[in-house]
Amino acid sequence: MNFRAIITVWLKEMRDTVRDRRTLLSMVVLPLALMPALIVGLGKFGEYQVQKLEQQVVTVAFENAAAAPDFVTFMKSYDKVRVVEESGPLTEAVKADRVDAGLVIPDDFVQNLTSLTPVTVTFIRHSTNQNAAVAPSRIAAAVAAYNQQVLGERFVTQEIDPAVLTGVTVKEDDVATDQERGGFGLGYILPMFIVMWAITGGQYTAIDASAGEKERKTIESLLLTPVKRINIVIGKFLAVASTAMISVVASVSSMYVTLTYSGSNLFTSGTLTGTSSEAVFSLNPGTLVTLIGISLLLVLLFSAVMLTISIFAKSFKEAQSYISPAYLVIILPIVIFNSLPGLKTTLWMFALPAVNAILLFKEVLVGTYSMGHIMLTIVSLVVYSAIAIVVTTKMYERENIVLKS
Amino acid sequence: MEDQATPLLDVRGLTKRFKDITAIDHVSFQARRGEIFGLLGPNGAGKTTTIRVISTVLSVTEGTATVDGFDIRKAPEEVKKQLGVLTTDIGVYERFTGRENLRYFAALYGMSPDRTEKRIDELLDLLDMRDFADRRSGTYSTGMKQKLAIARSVIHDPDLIFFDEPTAGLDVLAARTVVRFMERARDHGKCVVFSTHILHEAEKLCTRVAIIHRGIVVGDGTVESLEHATTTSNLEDAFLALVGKERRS
Repeated sequence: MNFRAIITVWLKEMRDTVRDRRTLLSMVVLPLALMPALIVGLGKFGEYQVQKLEQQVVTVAFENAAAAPDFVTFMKSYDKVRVVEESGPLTEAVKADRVDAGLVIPDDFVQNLTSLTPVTVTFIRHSTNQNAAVAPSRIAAAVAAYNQQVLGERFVTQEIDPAVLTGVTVKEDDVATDQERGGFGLGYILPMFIVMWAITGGQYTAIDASAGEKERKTIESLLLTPVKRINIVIGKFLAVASTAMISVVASVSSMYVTLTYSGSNLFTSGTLTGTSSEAVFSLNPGTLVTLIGISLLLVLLFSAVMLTISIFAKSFKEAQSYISPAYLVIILPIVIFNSLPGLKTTLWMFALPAVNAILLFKEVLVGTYSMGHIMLTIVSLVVYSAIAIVVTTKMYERENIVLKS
Repeated sequence: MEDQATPLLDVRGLTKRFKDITAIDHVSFQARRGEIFGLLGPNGAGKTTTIRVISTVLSVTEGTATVDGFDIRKAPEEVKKQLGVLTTDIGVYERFTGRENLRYFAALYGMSPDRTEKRIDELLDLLDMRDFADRRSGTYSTGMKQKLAIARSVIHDPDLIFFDEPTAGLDVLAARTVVRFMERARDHGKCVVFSTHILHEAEKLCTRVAIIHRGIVVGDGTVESLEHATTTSNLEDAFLALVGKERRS
């Protein structure tokens, strides 16, 4: 191993990267600017959506309204429900999105209610109408309230205290700390961003250092020097890993600063956590070091993969067309594992490349990690990275690949 | 004083196959210090492959070559230290200045910073590059890039220098610079291997030549000896006679 040569190649590639505005943009500027914009933007958007749903008035039309005057009157008085007249067939009105919901009253509504027989009202909805998404829950709440009123009246008639309607009530006591809730929410978004920047941050450097050398016709001059290819590959690999790591650190730092100082409630509003209680975003030094350490291993793996893919191409454009599908292949299982609801992790999952990092990030953020998971993730990522570097070096030794132009 | 008679480059039965295609077939020749040796042949004859195999960029299938006694099979890194190659493609790192390009390659050749700066100064003067050496090479003209490529190929002051089609695509002034550089290197006791298909340039510069056609050396020796053997009066006619003979056989 010729460390002097490795450092020479590494420094050259880093300098080249810094001088390339395109690479600099994707490496530093984009993560620094995009993360606050996304966090603040998503937070505001989430708040707006929640408020919008809460405030949305559901329009309801009745068929055979005359058969249940009390029920219709109750619905008219219910908060955020507006009863409208619809002369034509109700199904068509709902399908044409003229109303959010339709209720078909049976002729024997009053008769059945009086005789204490259950009444079935048909609820017509258009499930693909996004604007009417809140209609089922609003109508269900309104009907439940009407039922409560009817039952209350029946109990009063029979001189029974309506309080007997309530048998058991549930009082929620969440034992998760505010920090844990914050970490749980963060666990949905932070790992995805780390993976994204671990790939895209080093992507341009990987292409420039391999396919770019071919396109510029400098590769042969480089191979003519008395530096062994393994040293050239390691130098280039370190440059790709450095740029990717700078991206990851920039994005995580920018995210940290934004969440700490912007007052964004992306995580505290329950938009991601699904909880309505307060959640606090915080990263203690131990968590931060673990996150950065695992990110580094992830970056090493992705950098070697990017470099290997790029050397097959003979131009920048061709390399991009190879990397795009590879990006999808890498990111797809990660997205699936990241978004599976109620996923119960088992030990073998921590041996899956990249997926293991995602799962560990989540555990670390919530504070429920085990040393076994950490060790297996570290060992497997180190092994995969080493294999990837060996493969990259082999590719650089293949005449038909490295001199393809 | 180096022994001028001992070949600095000794190529013996060099063969390179790419799967079923034999790019060069048992190529043999010697080149000495203080001479410009011509490696002549039409496009696709195998000149570049020969250079790439000797410089260990490509692996050898059969045969071998030695550069100053170092075998390309046994000591590829040592061979690389002894030779410089001006490749046909004159690619440069365009976001680097000319000086930075040279420093990078000097570092890869393991040169000390002091020696690097002295050598760069020397080459900038020799190739008249001072005016543009500190500009990013992306802004260079073809001639400027060619000068930078020459400087890069000899930054480590090698004894053996390959010039692979160095004047192709250059204007008269730039081509003249290249020719002068080769002559100067020869005068300083270097061994210059000039690979070209432009025969009138070779006839003016080379003392000895090897004519390669379809991967086979069809003739080698001094220009006069080839003319004599083919009963022709110039290198071009000798070349056509040898290539034609090989085609008929």
